[in-house]
Amino acid sequence: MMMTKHKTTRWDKASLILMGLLLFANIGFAQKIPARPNPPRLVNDFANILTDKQERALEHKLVAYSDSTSTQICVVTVTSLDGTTSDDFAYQIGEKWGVGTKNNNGVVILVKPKTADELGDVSIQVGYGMEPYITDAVNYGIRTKEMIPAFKEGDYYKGINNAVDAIIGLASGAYKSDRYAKGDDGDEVLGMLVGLCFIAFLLVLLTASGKGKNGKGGSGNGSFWRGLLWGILLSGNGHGGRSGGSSWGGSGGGSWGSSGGFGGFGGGHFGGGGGSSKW
Amino acid sequence: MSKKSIITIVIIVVVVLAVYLWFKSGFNNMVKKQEAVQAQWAQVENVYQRRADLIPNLVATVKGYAEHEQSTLTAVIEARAKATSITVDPSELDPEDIARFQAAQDQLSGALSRLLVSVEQYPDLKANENFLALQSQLEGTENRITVERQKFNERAMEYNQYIRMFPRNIIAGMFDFEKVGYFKAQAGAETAPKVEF
Repeated sequence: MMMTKHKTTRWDKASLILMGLLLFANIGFAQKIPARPNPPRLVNDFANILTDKQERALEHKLVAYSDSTSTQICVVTVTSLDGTTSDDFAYQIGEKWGVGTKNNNGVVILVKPKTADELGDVSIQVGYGMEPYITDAVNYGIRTKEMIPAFKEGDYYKGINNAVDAIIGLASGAYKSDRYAKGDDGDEVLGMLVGLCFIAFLLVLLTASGKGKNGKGGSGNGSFWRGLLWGILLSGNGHGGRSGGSSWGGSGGGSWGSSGGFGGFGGGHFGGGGGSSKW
Repeated sequence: MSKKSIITIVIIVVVVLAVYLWFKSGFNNMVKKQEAVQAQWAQVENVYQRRADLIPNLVATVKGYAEHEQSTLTAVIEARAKATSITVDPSELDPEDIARFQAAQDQLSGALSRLLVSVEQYPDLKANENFLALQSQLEGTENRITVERQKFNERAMEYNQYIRMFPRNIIAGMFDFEKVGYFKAQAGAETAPKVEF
């Protein structure tokens, strides 16, 4: 009883420290752009210019589009650009959240609503893979013909929805969803199985050498081999943990989310293609 | 063989193996990071080339409307010719070469922004669809330049830090991995000139 209690407090301490570190990292991250939404969403109305119903309708449309084409269009609204340009802000969201998949087929629509003393600002940034479909000139047309007229009337939903429809139309057929053909994931699973078999094999050896040591009554050689095996085992473990961590950002949950909601951003990259307009 | 000599051999093997592995990972990581820097440099050249390709069209469009801007147009054409003539050897990425490249490109940026300011006086031109399309392409290209330069600096810093850190700098010195240059923060040339009346 005492033991368990002691153990729990130690675990609590460890998790507290971990949480503190994570929080710290988050603060560092949040200074410029908002942290990646969790659970992931495609519509992030931080400025609160859409009603809940509009938000749901837009999210539904974008998730369906992402499911069928793998192209991710992310809508973000903010009240402040934190001293940077809307293009840079939108680019950073795209790059840091990883909007799009490995085809770099992500689009970020960033809207900063007009206030009494500041102009409204809209930027559409497209990932590398979308640049051929949404060229800068087309992008300009979407902003000035589809969005700003509606924004001037104060109808943010209409403007954003128009832009989304235009982008969907332009990018139709550009990419196909490959969520049912997961070649890479299969490789990963195979690699993990091999790794697990290896670890199991080492464990068997380990117990065997441990038993041998007990039977003989302690030989220096046995403990050396045991140490070596432990060393290999631990370093193997460390490696596994690391590769797991790095693949998290890449594959996100794109292949996991099968029912309804948005599966997650897929690590797309942006090159600054696109532009912004004020009104 | 005595137990002692076996242990000695094992220790020697382990040490040799450790040194080999350290060398291998250090060298291979340097190659990988160097490749990343060079690939990013290619991206930088790409976006600058994209801008250079837009300029003849832009100049032709502006010429038709703004005849009085001959000197501004000439400045752009000259700056473009100079900027496209300077190339950087991607296998070296020498800091001085990069500085020269940047100076020439920044001069073109300055000439271009002066041109875009001067065309403000021509409402007909500003209403021209072709010009608006070109302007948006130019805007997008400037965004791309900023982004790719920033990415280049990040990769270059990663590589430079990696090769200069002790004790890895020993490997770097042995195999001639040299520090690459950076893009400097904009020094006035790229900020748009003020409009004065």
